[in-house]
Amino acid sequence: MQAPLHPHEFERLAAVEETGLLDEPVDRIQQAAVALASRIFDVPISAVSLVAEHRQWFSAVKGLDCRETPREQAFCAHAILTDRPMIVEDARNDSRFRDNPLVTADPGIRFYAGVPLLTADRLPLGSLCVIDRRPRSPSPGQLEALSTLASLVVSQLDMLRLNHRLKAETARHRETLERERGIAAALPGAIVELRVSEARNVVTITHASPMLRRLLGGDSDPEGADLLQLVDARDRRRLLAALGEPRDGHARRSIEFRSAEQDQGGERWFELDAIGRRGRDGTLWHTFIAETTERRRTAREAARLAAIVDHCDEAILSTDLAGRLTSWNPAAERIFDLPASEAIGRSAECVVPQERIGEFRGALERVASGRGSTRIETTRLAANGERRTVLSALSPLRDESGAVIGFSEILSDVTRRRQVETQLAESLRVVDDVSHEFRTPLAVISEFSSIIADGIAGPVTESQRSYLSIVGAAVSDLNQMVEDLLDSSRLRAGSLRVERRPVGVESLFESMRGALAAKAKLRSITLHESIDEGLPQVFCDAGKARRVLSNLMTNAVKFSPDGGEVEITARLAEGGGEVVVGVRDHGPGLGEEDIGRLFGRFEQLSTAHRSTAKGFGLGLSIARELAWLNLGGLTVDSRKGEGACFSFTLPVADRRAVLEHAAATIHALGAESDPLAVVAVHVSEPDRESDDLLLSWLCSCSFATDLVLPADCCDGSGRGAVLVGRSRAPQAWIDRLRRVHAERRAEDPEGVPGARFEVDSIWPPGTPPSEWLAAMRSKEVFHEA
Amino acid sequence: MRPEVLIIDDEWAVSRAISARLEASGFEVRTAVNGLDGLAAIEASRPDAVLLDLRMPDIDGLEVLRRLRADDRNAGLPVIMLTANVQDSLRGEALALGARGFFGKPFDHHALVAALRRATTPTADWEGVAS
Repeated sequence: MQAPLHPHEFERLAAVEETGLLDEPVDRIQQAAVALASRIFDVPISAVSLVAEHRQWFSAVKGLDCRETPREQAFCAHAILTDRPMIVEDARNDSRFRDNPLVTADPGIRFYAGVPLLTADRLPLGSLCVIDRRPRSPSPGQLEALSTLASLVVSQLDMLRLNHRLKAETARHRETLERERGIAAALPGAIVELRVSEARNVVTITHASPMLRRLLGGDSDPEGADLLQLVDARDRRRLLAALGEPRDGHARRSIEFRSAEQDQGGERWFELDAIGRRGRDGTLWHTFIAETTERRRTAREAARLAAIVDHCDEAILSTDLAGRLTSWNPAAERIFDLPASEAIGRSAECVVPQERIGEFRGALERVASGRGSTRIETTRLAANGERRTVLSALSPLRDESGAVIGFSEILSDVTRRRQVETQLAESLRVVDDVSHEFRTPLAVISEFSSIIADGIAGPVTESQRSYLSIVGAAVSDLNQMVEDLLDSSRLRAGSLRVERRPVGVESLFESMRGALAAKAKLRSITLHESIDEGLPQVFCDAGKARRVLSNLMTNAVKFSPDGGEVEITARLAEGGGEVVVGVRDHGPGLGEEDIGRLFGRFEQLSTAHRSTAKGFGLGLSIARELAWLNLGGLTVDSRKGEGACFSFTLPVADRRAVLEHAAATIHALGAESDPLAVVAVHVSEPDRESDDLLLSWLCSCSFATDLVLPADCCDGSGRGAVLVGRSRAPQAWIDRLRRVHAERRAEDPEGVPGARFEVDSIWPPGTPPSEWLAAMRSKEVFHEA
Repeated sequence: MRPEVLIIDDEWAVSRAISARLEASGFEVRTAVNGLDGLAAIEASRPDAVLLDLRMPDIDGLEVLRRLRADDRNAGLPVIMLTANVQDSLRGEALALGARGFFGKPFDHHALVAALRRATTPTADWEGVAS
């Protein structure tokens, strides 16, 4: 018959398990008890049997070869159901065991006496039992002895269980500690316990995770040290105040401070988060200290970027992948007349006109598919219905993994600029047409007067010939004025082509002598020429230099009395950086007031000279602008009644001199108001021919730039060019250059060589030329060959 | 025999002035007032040289030059261009089409006469004709 389960079977099994004896070698103490029991009863078999779930386990046994038997056969399974000893004198007469295989077969049990092993918490783990193969009747003394032995075994079992629980507890504890230490080590800061006793102005570190040393340094174990000593002296008072006694017993504080130890990169910042409660000897703070140097730097950088985005003139916006606006800066609000509050969340297409939707979506697709960014000039529609011409730069926005998550677009509003350009182009075209209309009749007048003067139409008297030559000269002056008008309009449109090269001073004069002499002869003026010997080459557009000289000569002849003298001089200026060409007349001269007004466009001299000087304000004004284009200047030195000397300068073809002149010229042209961009242009295939082609092309698109200089400026050995331009939006300017270059090159690959445009520097407005120049030099903008 | 020059120019006054100068210098001169007229005049009787205005109302000088060059009979006919603006953007194109020279208005008549003399002399060397 099988024994029923114990009423607390689950707890009982756990307790058996806790002994740690199952499936272990025989327990030596219990084995001694078993041996003693055998002797006391004089039986062959005895055991400590632990009743497990499906078996009984002999943690000590004598007289049997096995260590376990099935639970259903176990006498002990019955023994544990009572708290008194179980005695079976003859198993054959006991209905519970009569059919038990241990009775009917080997080992043939007849006698059994077992004392339940009842733990302190009243759980029977098994029994201490004695067994014989013949029936027995134990004496009360024997049974008492067995009970005593059993109580000893129970004590041992209780101890084993306690021991087991302790070990498990310790292991769990250790595991928790390890885990907490691991977490502390992985935290981006230190866990620190601080005790503040205000009386002593000390913040004692009572406990700290190892991270604290890594963060704040310190020589030894920080525990027991004063945190204030690790803090920058400037922040100690503040920190101490923050860790002051909480008013209502507990408090939460947060404060930033700098460490006493500095990094090579400078100050290091930390944040301390603390929860404190008042104790008997001061306040105990549980704190978390983390470094914030990087976060502060990032925040500062973000603030800086935000300020740029807020204050720049370009509209800057961003969208998500679906094209919905996620940001919209103040410039965008202005340009598109749409407040950010209304724009954000709407589709970016709300400012794209119907006919540009396709183009816009195409650009988004190109950018989204990872084919870089696009730059186009296009049209956008403001909320008030105005159309804006914009340069758009569309780029992908990516997350940390590099996946495209949206788009950013920078838009420069070039509406006004394009309008002005269109107007200028229009006015230039008109002036071109008008000058063309002028030239034909002028050619007819000039030709017929010379035909008559040459006697082709019949004999001519001397005075007729003389008058006809005056007609010829007047026509030539008129031609010059048409030329000036054209130049003036081209200067305004920025389309006057300037090609600066190293030129010999003598060669500037050579081709002009005939024309100059003819001008002088007309009024019987004696022309003196004095060109210093050994003058260095100058760096200029020779055509422009000749025009300046010609205009000054025309001016000098106009103001000279008949039979007077005009001197032309060329000499090296003091310092040797430039050549000065002067034209001196002995006319009425100019007062200070006249000089001030002299160079105004179309401005004429005062009434005193009106009869003779009509119309020549333009010539001088043009001469001055042409002199500037040649990186030089035009000045006049005159006093009333003492004649006038007009001089213009040309930089010597020497790198340093050219640079200085370039800087001064650009400054004079108004660099105070706009940033200057210096762009290095590299030819793709560096050889003389493509170099020349590139320079020539760059000069022809002077709409885009104030200065085009060969990379070496003078000796022709370098390759490429340097562009200097004033622009309110330098980046847009450079982008436009690149775009125009690419377009023109696509149209005319022979005429426009491949080139790379690289921004060397963008120079802030208001920088004096000397500083600008120093920076240009230090940047090696002008590369050696 | 005096060499014959055809002037094609829509400005009658310019044609008259050049005619007077060339006749005095020993040339026979014919004039045409536009491009089509000029082409017809060449078709009727081939001159020794042509002075051709670049900008004309109906068909411009370039077109006249193009049509002349398309006809093999006129392959060797010397053509010198006239223009109001020496910096004319069409200049390069005209030279590419085989114009022998280029004169801006007002022009240097000595140089023009010299150029025409060279152009109408059979053994002439064409180098350096451009003004």
